[in-house]
Amino acid sequence: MTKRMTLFTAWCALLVLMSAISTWYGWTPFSDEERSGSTSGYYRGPTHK
Amino acid sequence: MDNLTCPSCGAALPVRDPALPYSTCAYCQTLVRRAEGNVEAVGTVAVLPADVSPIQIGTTVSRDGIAATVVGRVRWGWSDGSWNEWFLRAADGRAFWLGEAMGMYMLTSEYPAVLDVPGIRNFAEGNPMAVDCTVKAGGKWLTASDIKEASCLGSEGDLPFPTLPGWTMTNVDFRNAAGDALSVQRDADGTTAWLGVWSDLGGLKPGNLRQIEGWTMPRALA
Amino acid sequence: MTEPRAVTCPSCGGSIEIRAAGYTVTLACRYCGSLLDVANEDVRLITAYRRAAKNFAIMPGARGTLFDVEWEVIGALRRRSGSAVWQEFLLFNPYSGYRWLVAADGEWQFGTMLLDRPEDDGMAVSWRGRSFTLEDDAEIETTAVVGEFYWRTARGDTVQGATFANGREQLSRETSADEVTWTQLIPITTEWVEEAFTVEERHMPRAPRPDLAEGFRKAPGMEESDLGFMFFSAMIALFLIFVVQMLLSGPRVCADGRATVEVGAATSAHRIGTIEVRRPWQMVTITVDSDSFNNRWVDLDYSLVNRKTQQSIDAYGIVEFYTGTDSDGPWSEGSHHAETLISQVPRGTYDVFVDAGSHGWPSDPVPGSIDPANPWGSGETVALWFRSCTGGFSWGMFWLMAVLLFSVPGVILWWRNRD
Repeated sequence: MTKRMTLFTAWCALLVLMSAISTWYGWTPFSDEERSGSTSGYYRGPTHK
Repeated sequence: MDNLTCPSCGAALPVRDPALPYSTCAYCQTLVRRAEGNVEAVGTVAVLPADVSPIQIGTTVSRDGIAATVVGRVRWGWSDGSWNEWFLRAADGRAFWLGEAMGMYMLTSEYPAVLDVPGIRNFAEGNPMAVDCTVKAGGKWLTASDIKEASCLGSEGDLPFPTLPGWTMTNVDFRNAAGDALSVQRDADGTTAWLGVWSDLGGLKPGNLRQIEGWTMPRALA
Repeated sequence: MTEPRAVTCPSCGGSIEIRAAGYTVTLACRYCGSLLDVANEDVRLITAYRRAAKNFAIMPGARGTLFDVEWEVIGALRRRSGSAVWQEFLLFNPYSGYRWLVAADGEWQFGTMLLDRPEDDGMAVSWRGRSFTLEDDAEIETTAVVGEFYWRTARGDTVQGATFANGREQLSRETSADEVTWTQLIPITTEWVEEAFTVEERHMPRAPRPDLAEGFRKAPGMEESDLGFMFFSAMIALFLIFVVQMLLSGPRVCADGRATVEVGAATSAHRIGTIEVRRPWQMVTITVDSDSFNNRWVDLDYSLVNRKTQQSIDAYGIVEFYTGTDSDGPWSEGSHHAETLISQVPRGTYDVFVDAGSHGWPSDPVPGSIDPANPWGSGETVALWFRSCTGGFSWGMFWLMAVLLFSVPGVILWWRNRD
């Protein structure tokens, strides 16, 4: 195995581990506690142009 | 012509090619200049390093039905190695160089016409040669593929130039897809151009090859 | 002048006979592996090593007859390209010059350097009237050297190597900084090689194990390095991430609820269920489906209120659906379904409330006007069905991981093909 491949395998393992930990603590950076977008609550409508 | 003797050690100095001015004494490495029957020692040539070349003085090669005989050898060294160039004289008086590199051979005869090509004339005037310079010689297009600054490492036999230590030359090899070869050499005496082909040893139909210790000569070459 | 040339290794003091004296430029000491420059009379140490490369299928010094010529193996190289490894042996006979024996995947090839050059026409070359098609073009690295060579070589050398094939015959083109060499390679049976030389079977480069990765690795453009293997590893890792997220986010317990909101009216609050988070921390997912309104949106402000502490966690959702016609024809946008993910909900029992308010686009319907679709209604309403569940799958997280995983081989691939 090349050095690059070893490093990459370690990187894959790190990401799997991180996703396991974050799932265990019920954490995600992509939750909906904040309203998305700047149109918060007032004007909505199609973004179709 | 009578056989001469070495002015330094007195050993016999066989004349293999009377047209050539320089000869190396096989016994004391003295470089001898021959002119109008006179012999004159001009210096001492380095001892040739050991090699396993199958060529030796007296080896014959055949090209276009004309047999040429090896009369001398110069060994050139450059930054990344060294190679042999054997000088041959054919029965019809033509001169050949047989370059030996990587177990391959480049057999060339003098082709002065190409010296008029601007790129080569420019080189002959002392300017550097451009890699990928393409010239037409003998109806063939050839491209400069290899440029080497070489210095003389030693010699034997009869040769056209003095092979004293410190004698240097610039060699440009041109080649093409068909295996043709053009070699342009520039030294203190001037620039010469040699056109021929790349070949393996068998393709040269050689005779009188050197017997190398520990190896049997292949039947096809013996 | 006919005695073989012997040199003394400046690193270990071992005496080494040079077999192709006059041609050999680089020598890797067979005792200590040190790389020597023997181009000139004085031997120069290029790189000192402590250990000679071993474990070659044939060791330098072996002699054998192939194609009616006796050859001596004078040098051996281990080389690598991507995940492929093989060995090359330099054969020498002073009368016949140099040849190559190449051992790869348990098979042998006999190589002859070409004096004439094949003519290149892009993906194929023609040589002596025959056409050879490009099979492979990748960087080749030399990983181990032993013996003597007529060019400057060292561990770690790289060249660009392309292979062109016509049936089982190959032409190999190696391009280094200062030259291009072409070699013709023909297959030669293992029996012939074993008749000629003593072959250490256990040191033969093995054929690659057939595995799942193989098909992927051999995909076009992938064979040239470990890239294919990288994409494969990234794939495996992403699959693991998927499974881990699925398994670790549970247990999943759901509660259903329903609400009706009037379009254009003030927001109304509804309790839509009770859920219990049984792990220290869990995600909560609230999905909503609505009836099929058009040109309306529904703002949803969710609150999870902890029964014990009365503390509330807020989150937002929206269902919106619009249609229209413009110069490109009819269009529609939005969906009657929405999903809201709430992260890091601590252990406890929660009542789920929603504040829902619906409006029309481009404006609210005029109160009191009669909707032709619902002429007896007291005002237009939107019905909403909620389902609140503990646990959840964060697709955002999943795609972020996918990007982080695939960007590495992706960038390498881009870098390689950027011209």
